[in-house]
Amino acid sequence: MMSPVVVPDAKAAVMESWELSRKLVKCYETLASVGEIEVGTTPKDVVFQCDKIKLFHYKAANAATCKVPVLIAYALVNRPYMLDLQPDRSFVNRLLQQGLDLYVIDWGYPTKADKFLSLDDYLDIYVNDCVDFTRRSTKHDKINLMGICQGGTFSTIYAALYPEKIRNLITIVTPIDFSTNDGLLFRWSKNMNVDALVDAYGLIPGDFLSVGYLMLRPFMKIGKYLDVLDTMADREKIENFLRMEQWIVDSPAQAGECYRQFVKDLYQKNLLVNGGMMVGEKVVDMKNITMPLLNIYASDDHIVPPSATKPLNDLVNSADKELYAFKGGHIGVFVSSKSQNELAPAVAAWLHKRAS
Amino acid sequence: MDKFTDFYTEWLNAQKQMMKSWMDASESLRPSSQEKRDQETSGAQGNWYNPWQEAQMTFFKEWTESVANAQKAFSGLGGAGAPQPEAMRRASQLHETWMGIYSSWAGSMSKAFEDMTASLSEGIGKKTFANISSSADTYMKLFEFWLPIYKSLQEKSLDPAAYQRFIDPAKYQEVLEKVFDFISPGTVKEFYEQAMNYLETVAPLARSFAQQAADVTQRNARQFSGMLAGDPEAARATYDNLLDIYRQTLSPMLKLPAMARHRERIELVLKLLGKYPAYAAQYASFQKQVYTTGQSAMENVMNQVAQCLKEKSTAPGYDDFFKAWAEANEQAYGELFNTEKFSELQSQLQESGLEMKKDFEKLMELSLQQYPVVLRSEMDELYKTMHDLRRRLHDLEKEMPARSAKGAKQ
Repeated sequence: MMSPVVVPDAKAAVMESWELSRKLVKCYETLASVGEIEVGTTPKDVVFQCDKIKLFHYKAANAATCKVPVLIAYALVNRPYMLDLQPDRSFVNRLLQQGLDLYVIDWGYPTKADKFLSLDDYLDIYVNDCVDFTRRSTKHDKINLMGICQGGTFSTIYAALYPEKIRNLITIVTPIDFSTNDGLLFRWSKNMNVDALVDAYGLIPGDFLSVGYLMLRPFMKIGKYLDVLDTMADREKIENFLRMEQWIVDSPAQAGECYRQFVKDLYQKNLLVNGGMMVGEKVVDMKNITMPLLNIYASDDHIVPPSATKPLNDLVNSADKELYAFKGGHIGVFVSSKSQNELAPAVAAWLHKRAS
Repeated sequence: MDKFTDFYTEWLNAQKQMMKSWMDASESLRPSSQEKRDQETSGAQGNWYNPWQEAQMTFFKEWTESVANAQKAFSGLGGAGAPQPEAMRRASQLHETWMGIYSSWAGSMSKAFEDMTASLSEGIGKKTFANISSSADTYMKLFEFWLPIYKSLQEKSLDPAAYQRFIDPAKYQEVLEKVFDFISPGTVKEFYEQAMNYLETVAPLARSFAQQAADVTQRNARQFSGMLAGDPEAARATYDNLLDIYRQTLSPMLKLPAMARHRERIELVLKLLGKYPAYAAQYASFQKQVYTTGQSAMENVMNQVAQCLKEKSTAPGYDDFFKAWAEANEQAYGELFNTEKFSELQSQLQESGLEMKKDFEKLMELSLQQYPVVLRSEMDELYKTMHDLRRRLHDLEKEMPARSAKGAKQ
C-alpha cells in the first residue's frame, strides 16, 4: 500500500546539490581562465568589398589543382566561420587540401541603415559583384558556385538568373521546396505575419531568429549544458565547445525587406516550385539551370529537412545532376568527422571531374 | 506537548536556524562589486568563492547529519509513538517544511551563481556560464520534485496516477518558465501601471479624472495576474471592462480645450491599453498549452519510471529520471509545436505583440516631437534615401564602362 506521506531522502538531496555546485565552481574557474576563442583561423585575404559585404580569398598551402574557382555563399542567419570553426574541424581547410581555390562571401552585420536592402540587392548587387570579381580576377568566364542553407537558395536563384556565369552549382542543406511541414520553421513561417514583423522592427534582430532556433529543441539544450560540466578538466574539449557556442550566439540581424520577400515568396508562396518568383524585375525560371548540379542534403536535418532540399533536382534542366545524402544533421555537414573525411573529398572529386 | 511534537518543533527550529546561519555566512562571504573588480584587475579572480565554498561544505555536513537523525527518529515516532492521523499531518508539515528549506537553499545557490556569472569578463565564456548555471538551476528545480518520487520508488509504493500529490503545480510552472523563458504575470501589472503613469505625466490635468479609474483598474490588475494562467477569456473580459471605465472617465476630459493638444497621445495610450487584453489573453493561451503539455509529459515519465521499477526491481537514479524527463518533454513539445493550432496561436501572439510595439513607438514619437531630437521615422526616411542613392550609384558604376566605350566610338 502506498504510504500517505513521503519524507524525502535529505542526504541524497544534499549530495546531489553539492556535487552539482562543485562542478559549477570548477566550470566557473575554467571559463574564467579561457581567453579569447579563435574561430575561422585558416589564412585568407579580403579581396573585394561592397558596403558591409566582404569577399574572402583563402590561402592554400599548395597551389590549387582545380583551376576553376569556387565561390561559397553562406546563409544570412549565422556567420560563415562555421565552415572554418577550428583547424581540425574546417570544411574550408579540407576543400583547400583537396586542391580547390576558394572564395567565401561574408555578409557582415547589417545595421538599421541596411533595413531597406532587398533580395534584389543581395542577389543582383552583392552576389553578382562577388561572382564578377571572382571571374575577372581568375580569368574564368564561368565559376563554380556553392551555396549553403539559405545561401544555397540564393545561389540557386542566382544560377537561374545568370546561368552563363556558373559552370557548376553545388547546394548544401538548401531549402527549395518550402511546402513541406517536416521542419518546424517551415510550419511556423507559413502562419507568420511577416509584414507586421518587418514593419515593427525594420531590421529583424538576430536574437529573434536565435530564439526560434532554440525553440526547435528546448530540452536538449539543458542536457547539452549539463553534459559539458563533466568535461571541464579537458581544456581542448571546452575550447571546442566554446567555439560552437560562439557560432550559435553570433546571429546577425536581417535586413527587413529581404527577409519579408524571402518569407512571403518562399516559405508562404513556395514560388521556386510553383513559379512566378521575381527578383527585381527579373523572373526566376528554374529551367534556366542547365549546369551540372550536386545537391547535398542531410538525412537527419531538423532545420532544413530532406523534403525541402531533394525536389531541386526535379526542377532544373541539368542533364548532369546528383543527389548526395549525408548521414547526419544540419551542423554535422560541416563539423563532423564524416564531413571532413567523406563529404569534403567527395565534393572536391565531383568538381575536379567537371573542371574542364 | 507529546513526544512527537517536541521532537518535531525542535528539529524544525534547528533546521531553520541552520539555514539562516548558512545563508548569512554565504552572503557575508560574497564579495562586493568593487571587490570583484579589484580582484579582476589584480588577477585574483576566483579566489573569493573559496571560503564561500568551505562554508557550504560545513553546512552540507551538518545538515546531512541533522536531517538523517531527524528522519531516523521521525520514522520511529510516526510508526508507533504517535496516533496515525496526527503523525501523517505532522509528516506532511515536515515534508513541506523540508521543501521550503530546500527551495530557499536552491534559491540562494542560484543567486550565488548569478553573481559568479556577473563577475566573469564579457564574452562567450560568460554567456556559456550563464547558460550552464541556468540549466543547472532547472536540473535542481526538477530534483525537488524527484525527491519524494524517489522515496516512494525505494519503498516500492509509487502510483504513477497519483504522482500529482508530490508536485506543486506553481513550482512546476517555474521549471517550465525557466525552460521557455516566459515573462512573468507580474509584467502585466507593470505594463498597466506604466501606461497609467505615462497618461498622468502627459496630461497632469487628467489625474483627478483618472484617479478613480486608476484605483479600480490597479485592483483588478492584481487579480488579472492570477487569472492569466487559468482563464484567458475571463482575463480579457476583465481588461475590456477596465478599458471601458477608462474611456468613460476620460471622455469628457478630452473635450476640454486644455486637453486638446494631448488628445492624440491619450487616445494612443487608450488604444494600446485596448490591444493589451488581446495580447495577454493570447499569451495566457500559449502558456496554458505549454503547461498542459508539460503535465502530460510528466505523466509519461512517471509511467516510464514505474515500468522501469517493475522490470528492474531497482529504483532508477535521478540522472536517469532527468534524461527520461528531458526526452519525454522534447517529444511532447515537438508534437505540440508541430500542430497547426500552435503555429497559428504563436503567430497571433507575435502579431499582437508587434502591433503594440508599433503603437508604443508611435507614442514615443509623439512624446519626443517637441524636443530637438531626430525621430525614428525621420531616420527611416534617411535610410531609405541612402539605400536608393547607393543603388543608383551602383547602377551608374556598372553602366560606366559601356557608356565610356560608346562615347569613345562616337
